[in-house]
Amino acid sequence: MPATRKKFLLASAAASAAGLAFPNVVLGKGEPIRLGLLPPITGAQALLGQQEQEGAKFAVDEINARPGKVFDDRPFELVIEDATSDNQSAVGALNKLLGENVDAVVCPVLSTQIQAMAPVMKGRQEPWMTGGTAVKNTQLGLTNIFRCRASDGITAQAMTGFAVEQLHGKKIAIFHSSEAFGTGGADQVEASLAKFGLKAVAREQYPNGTKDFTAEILRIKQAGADVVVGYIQNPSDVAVILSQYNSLGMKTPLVGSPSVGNQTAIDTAGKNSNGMYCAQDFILGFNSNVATKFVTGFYNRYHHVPDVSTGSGWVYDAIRLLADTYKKIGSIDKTKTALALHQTKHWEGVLGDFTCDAEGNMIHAMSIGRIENGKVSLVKKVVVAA
Amino acid sequence: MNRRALAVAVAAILLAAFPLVVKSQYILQVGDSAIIYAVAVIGLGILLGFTGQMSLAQAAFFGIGAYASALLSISFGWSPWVTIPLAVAFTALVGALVGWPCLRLSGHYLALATIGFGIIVQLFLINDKGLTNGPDGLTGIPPPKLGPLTLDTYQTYFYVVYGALLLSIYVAWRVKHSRIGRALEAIRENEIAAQAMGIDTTRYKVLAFVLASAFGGLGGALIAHMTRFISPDSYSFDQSVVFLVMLVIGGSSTITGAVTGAILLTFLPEVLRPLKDSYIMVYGAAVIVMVIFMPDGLIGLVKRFAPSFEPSPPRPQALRAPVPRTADTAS
Repeated sequence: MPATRKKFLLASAAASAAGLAFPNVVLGKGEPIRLGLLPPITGAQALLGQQEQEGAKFAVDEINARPGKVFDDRPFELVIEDATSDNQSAVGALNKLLGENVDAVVCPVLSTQIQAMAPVMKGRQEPWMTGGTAVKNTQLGLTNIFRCRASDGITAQAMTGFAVEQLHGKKIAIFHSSEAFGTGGADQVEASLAKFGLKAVAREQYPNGTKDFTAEILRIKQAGADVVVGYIQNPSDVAVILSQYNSLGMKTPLVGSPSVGNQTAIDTAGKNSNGMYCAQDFILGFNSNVATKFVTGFYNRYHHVPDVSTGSGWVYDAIRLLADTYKKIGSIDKTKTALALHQTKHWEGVLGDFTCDAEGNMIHAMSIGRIENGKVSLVKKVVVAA
Repeated sequence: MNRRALAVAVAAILLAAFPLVVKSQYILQVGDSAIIYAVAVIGLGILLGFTGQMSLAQAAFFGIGAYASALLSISFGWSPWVTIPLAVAFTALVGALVGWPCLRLSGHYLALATIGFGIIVQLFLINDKGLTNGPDGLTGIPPPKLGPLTLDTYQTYFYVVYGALLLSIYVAWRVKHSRIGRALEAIRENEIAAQAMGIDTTRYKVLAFVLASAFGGLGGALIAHMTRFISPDSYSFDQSVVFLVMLVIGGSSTITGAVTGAILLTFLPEVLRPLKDSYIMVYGAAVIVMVIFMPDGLIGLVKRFAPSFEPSPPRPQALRAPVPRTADTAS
């Protein structure tokens, strides 16, 4: 018995010494890395929330299935809280998530929610990954926010450039939804037009969910516009707009924001979407191998095509980028992770080349597609220097 | 001090310990929000519960208070201790201007007029970009300071909102148990009879509308300095309906009901969070059940089982005197 006790004490002492000397090895190996996700599970944007969750679960399962998982056999563990569609609930969800000791947060895609959450985010070290496209999101004084989609500034620049240079528009009208996304985008379009020395001949807006766009469309027609640039938030509004656009005899080409190229919107609009142009983060069949692998894998798993831009694609990219960054630095230290994310250069994601600029913007390109017979084909890719 | 007053004082002191006991930022934030909503709902209670006038514009007044206080503090660098009372006064003034023409209407027509006003306010906040920064909203709203201490945490801000709630309860209680309160109740019970008794019904209805607006403005100003970001989408018709549901569920004719309803309906969605996407169904069902089985709200239910909970003020002696039974009164 004394020999056994001696062995036990020696083994305990050795284990304690190892624990003191290599705390990370003893405490960290195999331990899950807690990843917060704030999708809108309920409310008006619940469809987006479902797509975000699908993208996140797909990425996490893929990473956890690879040898070594994220790194050191540590898997990702998703902690999901409903951000709903209003700002106060999003702040509540973020506070709940932070109370659960998450290591990084994939933020909501709605820009006003990001801005409402900013006072809570300030002074904290968690890396914040977002898909919100308002230019302001990365100008809130947060050094650890990273945007995994093109900003509205880039989108508007691509749309306007295409309208002026490719479609030779001289009299451009702007048509937009009246909330933060549509108004912010329309402002960016006006700023881009100014660079070409142009001023919009008409600027018409509507509240989301409107069913009759006759007045707005006719005013654009009366202004004599030769190209219409549309900043539309809800894919569900697109079908109604395009149907009335055609029935009122509008032959003017329309260059729309990403929602115009949303597959659900295209399917609902039917032949009314033929010949329309749209800005797209991603066009099926015109992207990298990573994108092809994602779309195929996603389809096999969920049996439907992903909404890559606004829903599942950017979340999938955000989680994979975090995993690769953790693996590269061999740590989940929040400050080190944010620094490493700032150094991201030419990382290949579903949405394209990720290179971080000083503000935390990762994507600097936008494609323009043309819709024909229910499909979007690439017309032009616009790359803006990081 | 009677037992009731003692119980209220003890409860108030115990509640003041909430941020000292609770450490979760999440629960503190929900608690602060619940108290702020309670202030706005008490105001709605004065209009609907005390006076019987329907308004679906409480979120609009909430928004006016929020924007007024935020703009004054951002543009002029004034302390929130100054801007919050100014915002309340401004919201009350708007309430008077809107209430005067609207309160010539009643019932469904008044409700429709207030819906219209709410929509106008939201459209104004969205479209007057020069003043309100449009749909992007306002950022950089400063928190209040108390000497060297900045009240920028949910713990410290709790005492600001808690103070405002106690003040609101006191004002509403004084209104209810004053000549004004009795006039408002008379209007609620029978407007024509009240008029016949010499009550200037329009004046009192406008007064109730002004008080409701001021309480809404106070709530809005408080939330602006807590969240430090406001945008027009928070002040929609939906939010007005939420305030109304809070009041109806709690019990519209009592201050306790307004506070209880606001706290319950702020915490309920959070309690149901684990249900994820099915929570909204359970939430809706819970509201329907409460409306069916508690038509007088939670406070009505409590009163049914404990009649001494909130007794009605003693009726004047003359009204309690036995009426001689004559051939005319017998039936």
